[in-house]
Amino acid sequence: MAAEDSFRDYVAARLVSLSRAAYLLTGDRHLAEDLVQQALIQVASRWERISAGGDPDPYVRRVLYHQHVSWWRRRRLVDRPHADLPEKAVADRAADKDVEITVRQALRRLTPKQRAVLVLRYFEDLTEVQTAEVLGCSVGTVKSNTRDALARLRSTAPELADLREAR
Amino acid sequence: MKELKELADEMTPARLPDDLWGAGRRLRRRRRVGYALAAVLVLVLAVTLPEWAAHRRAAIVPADRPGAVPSRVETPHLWQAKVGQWPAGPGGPASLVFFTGQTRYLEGTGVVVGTNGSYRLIYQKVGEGDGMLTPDGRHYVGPGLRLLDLTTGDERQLSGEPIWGEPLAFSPDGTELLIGVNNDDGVITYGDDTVPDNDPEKPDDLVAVDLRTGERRFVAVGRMNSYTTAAWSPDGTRIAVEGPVGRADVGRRLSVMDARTGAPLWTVDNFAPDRRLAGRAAWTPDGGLLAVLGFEGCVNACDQAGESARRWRLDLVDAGTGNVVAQPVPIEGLPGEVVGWRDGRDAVLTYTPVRAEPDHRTLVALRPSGEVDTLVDTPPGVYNLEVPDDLLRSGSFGGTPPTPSPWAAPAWAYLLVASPFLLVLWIFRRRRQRRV
Repeated sequence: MAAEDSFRDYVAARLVSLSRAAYLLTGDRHLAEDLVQQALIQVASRWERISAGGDPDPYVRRVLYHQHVSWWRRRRLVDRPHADLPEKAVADRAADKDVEITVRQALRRLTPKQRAVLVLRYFEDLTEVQTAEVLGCSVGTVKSNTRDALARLRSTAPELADLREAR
Repeated sequence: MKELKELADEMTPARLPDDLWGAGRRLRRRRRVGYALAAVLVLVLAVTLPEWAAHRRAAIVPADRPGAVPSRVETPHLWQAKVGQWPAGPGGPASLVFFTGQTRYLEGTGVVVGTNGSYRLIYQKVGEGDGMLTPDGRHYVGPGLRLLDLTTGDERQLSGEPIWGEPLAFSPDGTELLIGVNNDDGVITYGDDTVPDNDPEKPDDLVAVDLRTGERRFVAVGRMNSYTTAAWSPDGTRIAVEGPVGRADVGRRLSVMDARTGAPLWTVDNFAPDRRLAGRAAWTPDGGLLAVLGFEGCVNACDQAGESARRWRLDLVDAGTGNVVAQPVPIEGLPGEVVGWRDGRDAVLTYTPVRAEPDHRTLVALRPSGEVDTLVDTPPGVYNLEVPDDLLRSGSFGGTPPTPSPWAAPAWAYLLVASPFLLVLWIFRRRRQRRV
């Protein structure tokens, strides 16, 4: 029961942060909820091992991001991806926040990995090395994904021109 | 990047199910079961694949590869594959074939033991006679001259119409097979003892069939009601034949004839009913003598006890005259047929060591003193066995007893074993898909 309690404590402490990251990754509240749930179920299934290693955050983050990429791959088989998503879905929810709409639309035009890199670097404030560890790729891949993501953001949302490649 | 943070602030904490922890535990259990199944699968493949590879290699082993006849064989598994049955493969050239009812068919079945130790079944229809192995052990010659290639599993009809009759003996060079062709056309004639006999009005023919071409050559037309035993002389020039003659098969005839023309060299028309030509290898290796099996005891209308009580012996008669020329060799058990010779002196014969157990047939070498050396032992229930002539001539006996591989099974057996695992996997997958 100690393991279950510590898991519940951890979830209570980190739920807000995880939910926000999931929202940025998916761009949808319901999908973000599903993503957090699935990731936490995965984490619960291995909690003893994860918690024994000290800080569970790196592992939990890795599960969340990999789950997101793997979701996207699996859904791609049944739901064809949209290069240009309908704007109506977001327009009525944040009509008064032009920048946020722009960011959301711009994010949706990124690949899952590009979006993950962006969220890890600029929302979670991880370094390139930490980002590479979470995504299980090389630092070079992180760099190129970041560069491509920022380039695409700038082209689709010039308002974000103040973004910098390197931190 | 403040825009990202502001966007993220829109998100309220995700609602979580009450049993999040329980869902994680269930996932852990499913994962463990999956690992266990994967481990079993890997184990099965690890054991099976080398076996398959060995069988594939055996399929291309040349027929003249030297081998040894195993000293003992075992009853095959109930799920043992037939010759050529996928995925086990054919099994390769035979070191012997034995016939038993102890298989899944619950009827007489041929069991081929390959020179590589493989076990494969040959299905026999109800009442079907036992076939013979070609001298090189590569083919099984079934009824009607159907040739089963033991190295590929292919079965084909030797060219022309099927020949229905008794396969008797191969020529010394292994090219021709002597067959007593049944000419009775299904007519049953009853003798004085109400036992169905051959119709003397329709005597059988002796035919030599070339197994390479399917060409048939009549060696003797008529002459006997049927041909029960034939033996080719070692030099291939003469054939000794024995069979019943006269109404109700009352008489027996032993004849030695020219192998090419069929011209009789000598004939004994009143061959005693308590004697018979010893078998397909009745000629001694030097071609000078013929082996004849004789007995003392009940001759006519004998019950099983009377037959079991017979005292058997092996006589050697002059191949030129038919006169007994050597001391008889006493035989303790029940002799079957002389199929070869060891060291030019000891007759090699199929043999039932215990008179009361007719379904225990072995292969033994009979010394002139009457002692027997068991060359091949078999499990109970084996009523006949065959060893290829080439191995008999080379005297390659005493091979390591092979054990039938449980993996040499037909695809349905694998499916049967795998079905519970597949069902569990399917259920897991379906549940997972539903959840997603």
